[in-house]
Amino acid sequence: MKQPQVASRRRIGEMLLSNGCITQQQLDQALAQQQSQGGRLGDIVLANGWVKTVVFYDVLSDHFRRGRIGDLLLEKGLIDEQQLTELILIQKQWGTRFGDIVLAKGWVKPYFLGQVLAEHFDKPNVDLMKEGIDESLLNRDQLSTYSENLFVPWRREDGLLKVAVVDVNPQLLELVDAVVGEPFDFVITSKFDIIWLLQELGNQYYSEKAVHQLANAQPEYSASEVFTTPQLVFFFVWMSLSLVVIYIWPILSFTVLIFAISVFLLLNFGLRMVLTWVGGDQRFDHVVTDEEVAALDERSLPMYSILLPMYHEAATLPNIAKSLREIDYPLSKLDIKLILEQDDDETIDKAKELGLEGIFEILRVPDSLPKTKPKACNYALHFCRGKLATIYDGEDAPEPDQLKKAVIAFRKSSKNTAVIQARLNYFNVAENWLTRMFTMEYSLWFDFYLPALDALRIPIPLGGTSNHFKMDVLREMDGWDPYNVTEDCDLGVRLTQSGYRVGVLNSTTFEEANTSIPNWIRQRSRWLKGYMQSYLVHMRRPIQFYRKLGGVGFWGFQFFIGGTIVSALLAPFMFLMYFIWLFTHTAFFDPYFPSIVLYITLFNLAIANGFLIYLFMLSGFKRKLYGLIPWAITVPFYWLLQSWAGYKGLWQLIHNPFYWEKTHHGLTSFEVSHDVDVNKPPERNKSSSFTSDQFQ
Amino acid sequence: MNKTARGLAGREGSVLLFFLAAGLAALTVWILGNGFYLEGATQSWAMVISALGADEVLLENLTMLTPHFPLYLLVPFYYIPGLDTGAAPYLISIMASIFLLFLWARHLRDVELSQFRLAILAILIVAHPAFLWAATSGGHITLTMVTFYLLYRAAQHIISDHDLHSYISMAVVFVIFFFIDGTAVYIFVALIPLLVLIAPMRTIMVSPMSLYLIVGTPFVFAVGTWAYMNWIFEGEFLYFITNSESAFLGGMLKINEYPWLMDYGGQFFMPLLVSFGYLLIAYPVSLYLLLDTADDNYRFRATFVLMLHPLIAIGIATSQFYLTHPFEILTLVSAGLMAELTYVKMQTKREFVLLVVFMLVSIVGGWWLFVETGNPQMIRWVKALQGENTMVAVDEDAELQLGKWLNAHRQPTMLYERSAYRAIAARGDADHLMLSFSRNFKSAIRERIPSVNQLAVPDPVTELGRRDLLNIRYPTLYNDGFAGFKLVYDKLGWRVYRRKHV
Repeated sequence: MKQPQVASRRRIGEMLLSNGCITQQQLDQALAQQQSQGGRLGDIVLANGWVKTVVFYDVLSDHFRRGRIGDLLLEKGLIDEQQLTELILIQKQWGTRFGDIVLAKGWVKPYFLGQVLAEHFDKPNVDLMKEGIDESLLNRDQLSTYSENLFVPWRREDGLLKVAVVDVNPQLLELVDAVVGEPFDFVITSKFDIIWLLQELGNQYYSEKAVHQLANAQPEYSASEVFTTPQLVFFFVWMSLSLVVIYIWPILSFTVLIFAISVFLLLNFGLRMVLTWVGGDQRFDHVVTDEEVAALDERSLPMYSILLPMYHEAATLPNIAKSLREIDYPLSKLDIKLILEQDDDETIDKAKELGLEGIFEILRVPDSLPKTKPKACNYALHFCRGKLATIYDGEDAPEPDQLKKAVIAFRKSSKNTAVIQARLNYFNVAENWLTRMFTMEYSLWFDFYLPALDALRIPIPLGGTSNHFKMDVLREMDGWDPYNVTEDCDLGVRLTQSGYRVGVLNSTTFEEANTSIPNWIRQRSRWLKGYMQSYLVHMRRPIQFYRKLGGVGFWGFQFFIGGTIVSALLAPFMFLMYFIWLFTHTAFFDPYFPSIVLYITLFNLAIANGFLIYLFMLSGFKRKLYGLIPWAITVPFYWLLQSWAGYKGLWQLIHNPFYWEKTHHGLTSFEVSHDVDVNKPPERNKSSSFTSDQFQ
Repeated sequence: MNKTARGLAGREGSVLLFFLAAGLAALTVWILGNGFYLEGATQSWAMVISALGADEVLLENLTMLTPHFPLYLLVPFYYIPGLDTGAAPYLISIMASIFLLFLWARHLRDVELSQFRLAILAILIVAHPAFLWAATSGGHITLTMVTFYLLYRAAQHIISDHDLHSYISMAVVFVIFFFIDGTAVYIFVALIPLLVLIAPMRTIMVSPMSLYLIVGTPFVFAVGTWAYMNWIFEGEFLYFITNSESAFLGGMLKINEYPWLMDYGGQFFMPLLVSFGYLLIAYPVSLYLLLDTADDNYRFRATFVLMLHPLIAIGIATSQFYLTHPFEILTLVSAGLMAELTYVKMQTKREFVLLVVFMLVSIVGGWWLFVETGNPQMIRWVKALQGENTMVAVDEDAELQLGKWLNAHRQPTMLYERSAYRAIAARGDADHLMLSFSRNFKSAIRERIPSVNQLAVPDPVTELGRRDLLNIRYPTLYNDGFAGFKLVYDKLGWRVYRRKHV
């Protein structure tokens, strides 16, 4: 044992000397120190700070490495010959490291891989959960850096800081060097050890950041304050003046009000027609072609983080895991975060029981308020390692090539493109009337409106899932607003204000449409409440908002976001007035409807509503869901449901603004699939069970 | 972009369009100078000035008995000094035809032809009597042609591209069509069986109903909206169909005035066959295009539809006693042909020469057919074009005389505008006239003797007089007047009674 060590010492010293890393005097001093105090020569050189760690291992790389990872895995019986052959082929195709591939494939447990890596680098393999760290070495301000890059200062041994790392590469060593700011050496550990340890030690920090980061850094964009003081003053003055005016000129006031509403609804209709026409352009269906996907070099693909925020969704977990395994993307470049609430034992247990591959990482979000999806996602951001990131829900079935398409779309788009929204639709289209309506609405929204908003440079309210972000921009924006219950919509508007572009993608994620009206009302009331929150937030400084967005963006926002809210709230009144007049032939309303107002309301009633129904038909036609088209006639009833939800949302905005209204998933009897055909008899989902995305 | 690909949109194209516009304007002036006027144009202008000159300007003043869109286009002219004359409808016709040519010129960019060849095609299109008639006669048929052109463009796009814009275009065009021309219903119905030739086979096999819903729903909504407006303003959903004076009825209630309806009214196949004969004479180029595109599935389908669609529409419209002359629909083939030319290959000299020859033959055939079978208005137009004075002697023109007299003796006058529209147009405005849509008129006509200063009424023995609302309400008015009224005008079948103390 002794002879090789002497040889090793001599060789290390000689190599460092010959490469000019240390001087002869330093070598002599190190050797003297080794003789007097013991220890390894390398550690002494590093501890004295004569050479940086990254340079040290760059020079001595071959010296330390023992065998090739593949051979070591085979030697230890962790993989067989066939797997090794496959591994080599996959590595050529994906361009990633052996360790990442075997973990992604689930062939080797992370712990065993850690052992192999430790042997390979001739470093100790430490179990951080058993061999705890010296917490005094942690820099609390750097917790995010630790978790994003998977390293953590472990202990100080013989005066030299030991940093636990999962993998070793020059970039990481340089980063560690910059972060710890002192000489260090590394030890090997498993990534789960680092993740779990950091969660244990940094829960308070991560939680605090997840909840308050936006409110602290950009309070003007935080919905934590529902109504600002100037807004309250404005409402008060406006309402007071309105009452005075109504008292003095009652008929004229209401006539002007009805006129204003009619014109608003008319313009709202006009905008939707324009959006449908613009969004119906074929080019949006070919943003990324199949040929481009086929020609993609997988080695050039970046690391992709996938966020899966879930709460009491044990039943849907196998579905989404299956969908993600089917994703056409190098698995070793996927960084999948199962973001589970700490008290959700059911889902946590299910995740453990499924024995998911190493690319799935479970993050437990500590219990704190508000208990919302954006807060959970913000929490997870600190652990994401991808250059790009996306969010999926538990019941999602994205089209397999979606991530590749997103990468290509980013490459093809302008540099300021920060996020690309994929299309959302439903797999249980034909389950009942509600799912049909919902599907048509979503098709209209994602297949027509959003591409048009992108083309017209109007802020895009992002969908809840399948939005693909550039991670650096997402972090720059301080993530999502945890107080906003449509954090996605809010983020889209914030990005546009910051000069970023929100693009769209011709790839669809299929979700589960709500099958029950009460459940739908819950979900929709949250969405509309969130729209109200977003509207209030961004209209705090309307002039500044106008300057940032320009005329088209500003008015587009007023009509697209504001119009959605106003339409929902006003529709019952307008319908009620109409039906009272229709059935009673009362002349009561006549003074309020002078000819010009009458003509506009007539136009809105007949032509605008007729065409809005037609837009629903078009959405089914474009999706080739022909069976949906006749159902579009019934959409006015759906609008009434929307109004109901709108008033519920308004009520909650005032009384419980941050409450995340529960939406239950797993009610469908249809199989989760991205192959949807409304004319095909449904495949029944035998394993269907009740879950919910019930963040509170 | 190379020179040939610019089509008629380049500078040379603009010059040509300018000359065509100037030519059409000059021709219109020439025709009008020779005494031609179109009843429909005068009626439209009278309706507009009546509605806008009323105490309360209301949409319903225009009545629900005629499509509104052409009337809306006339509205701005009422407010433009110098243009607020009866010439406004003719100006609209010219502008619409120039717009159509401009649109066509833009679409021709895709056809790689030299400027010279494109100019020849443009001249050949304009020289066809159907186009000239539409552009210079002051009717709204040029608007119908624009719509028809867009309809065909949409159909061609559905065939070739199958993109959603084409379906939306077709559906929206039908809606606009309905508000322009009463023939829209027949054009729409005629296209229903032909949709199977236009739409992709897969869609037809999977869900033909969806296709019809996508193309037809807005049109159905448009008709429903119109019916609803009839109910709101006239109290009856089907007022625009049941009222005898409705333009939506076409020639139904005046069959004996139209030889075409006398011969073929109520039939489908015979008018279809006969109109096919008309097509062969006036548009043999359609047959040429059919043969020329036989080897190209897409283009052949489009050409086949172009040929068949108007004929089926003529058959249906005649079977419903609507169509008074086949040219009311056949004229639209010119617009369809223009759309067709934006798709037809004519790169080789042989192809182009053959096309030109067939278009020339079409022009000759068209003129022959126009002269031989035209209705009285067409004949007058042809005569006016030839320089013949078709003007009715001023002294013999009853409505013109009445209008001039009313202008000279301005008094609040009650009269039925559908009988007196030419008089209103001749008067120049409707100031102080009590017309049937006004509250004053409606209130006055309920009285035994209306509380008005003056009434104008036509002789009840004439066709015009029989339909006059005042004659229907007061059968003895023309002959006896009212107590307390004196006869102040009696000329050429019109009488004006004035209250004595006025």
